[in-house]
Amino acid sequence: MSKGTISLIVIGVVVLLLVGGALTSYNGLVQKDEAAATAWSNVQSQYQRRADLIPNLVNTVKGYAKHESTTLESVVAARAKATQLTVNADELTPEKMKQLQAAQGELSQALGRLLMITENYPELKANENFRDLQAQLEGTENRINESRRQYNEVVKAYNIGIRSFPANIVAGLFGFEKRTPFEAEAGAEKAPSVEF
Amino acid sequence: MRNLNSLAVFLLLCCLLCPLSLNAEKWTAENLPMVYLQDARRHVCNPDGVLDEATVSSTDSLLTALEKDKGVQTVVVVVKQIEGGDPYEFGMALTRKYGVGSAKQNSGLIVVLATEDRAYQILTGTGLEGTLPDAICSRIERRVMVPRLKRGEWGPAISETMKAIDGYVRGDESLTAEADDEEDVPLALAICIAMIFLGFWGFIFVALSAQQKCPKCKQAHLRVVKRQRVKIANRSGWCICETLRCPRCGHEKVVYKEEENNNFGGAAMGPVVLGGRRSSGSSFGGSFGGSFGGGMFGGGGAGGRF
Repeated sequence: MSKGTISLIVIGVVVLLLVGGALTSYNGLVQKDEAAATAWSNVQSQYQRRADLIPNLVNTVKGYAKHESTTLESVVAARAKATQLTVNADELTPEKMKQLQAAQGELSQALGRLLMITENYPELKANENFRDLQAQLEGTENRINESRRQYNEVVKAYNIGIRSFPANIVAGLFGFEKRTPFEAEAGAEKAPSVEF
Repeated sequence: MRNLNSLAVFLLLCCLLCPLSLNAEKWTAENLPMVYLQDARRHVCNPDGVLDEATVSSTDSLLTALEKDKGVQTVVVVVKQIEGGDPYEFGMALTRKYGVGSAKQNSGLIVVLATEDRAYQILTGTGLEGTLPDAICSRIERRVMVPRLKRGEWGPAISETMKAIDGYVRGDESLTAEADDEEDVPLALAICIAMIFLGFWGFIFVALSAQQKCPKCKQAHLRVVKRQRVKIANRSGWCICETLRCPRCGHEKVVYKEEENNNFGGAAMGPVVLGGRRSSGSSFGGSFGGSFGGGMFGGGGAGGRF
């Protein structure tokens, strides 16, 4: 065998390995990308679930606590603002994420205030319908947290995937871009202060 | 003076810490003994002995029947204290560690009660959220569980709650018992079993062919023509005396083997190899350890404090 043939074979093997490696890392990236998109849609549907519960909750509270109209209105307004803002997984820039988190955070706070004032209405608290709604709302908050946690996990795996060698070359070639995770909620990092 | 001060601080710290260390263990998902893995018929983790034996065994049999009939895998944890005091976080950590429920139906169920934290939680797998919506879980807790918890009746609180849940789950026609098909066995385990099986037979085949090739004509395998159970001097047990004959040249050979201790032969091998009580393998039968299927939990369920 001449030197030329040997070098040709070597080049062929190297090219094959490269193409094979590129293929596997491309497929791996596609998988991770798809997982992130699925996790994001799960987050969105949990937010939607919360938004769907609110009209019912507001109506129930209204029946017992007519004087709390400002709190009720702020919940309705925050809900309207939050539902307007739905973002596709692919156009999820850090700015968009910030807006979305702000809107949803505002809704969380308004809901928190609403649930706080219900403490003053024993009849409302004894209402079965209200207690069911409250349980549903708590479950939904838990689901939101869980879906956000899962989203952050798959996004982390994806982001590590597109930055590690050799997948980063493939990611650059096919335009896989970094995805944005949820930031910790503002104020969440502070320990709650107790006031007397 | 400064020394005195630091000594005082140290003593104060000791006083503060001592009662804590004397308290019962604060359980986490990591250190909680998961009895189900040792025995698939045990669903109630009761490491602090909060529940009495009767409640544990009746709840265990209820939940074993439920798993068999409806494919709902349940873990009940009753402890005094949990780390952090939040039964929701504790339950979710358990699901992440063990993956309670089948991966196909996602029908896992976790009930946590921490009596000294005075907190409880029901967690439903994503496939159970339709059967046991949050509002239903909350109603069961309000009507069945909490009144008993307030009176400190831990046993009745748990057994009545599980009966109520059992009623709801059995009322749901869409839930089915898991078929024991091959897909449920984790792939790695299946490969292990296959390799053990193949290796076993391969070994026998090699051993047989090596032993029984006719030493004279080397063309045919020797066949056993006579087998006797004999007692030989210097040996304590019985021996097997085999007479082998070559079908081609008629060469005969006599072999003595020690009798194996068990009389079941190869048939006993399977369960002995697979059924170690501490193995994390799949559930082969009632008394063997259980395994969790990797079910998903999305945070559904309800909980509270009493």
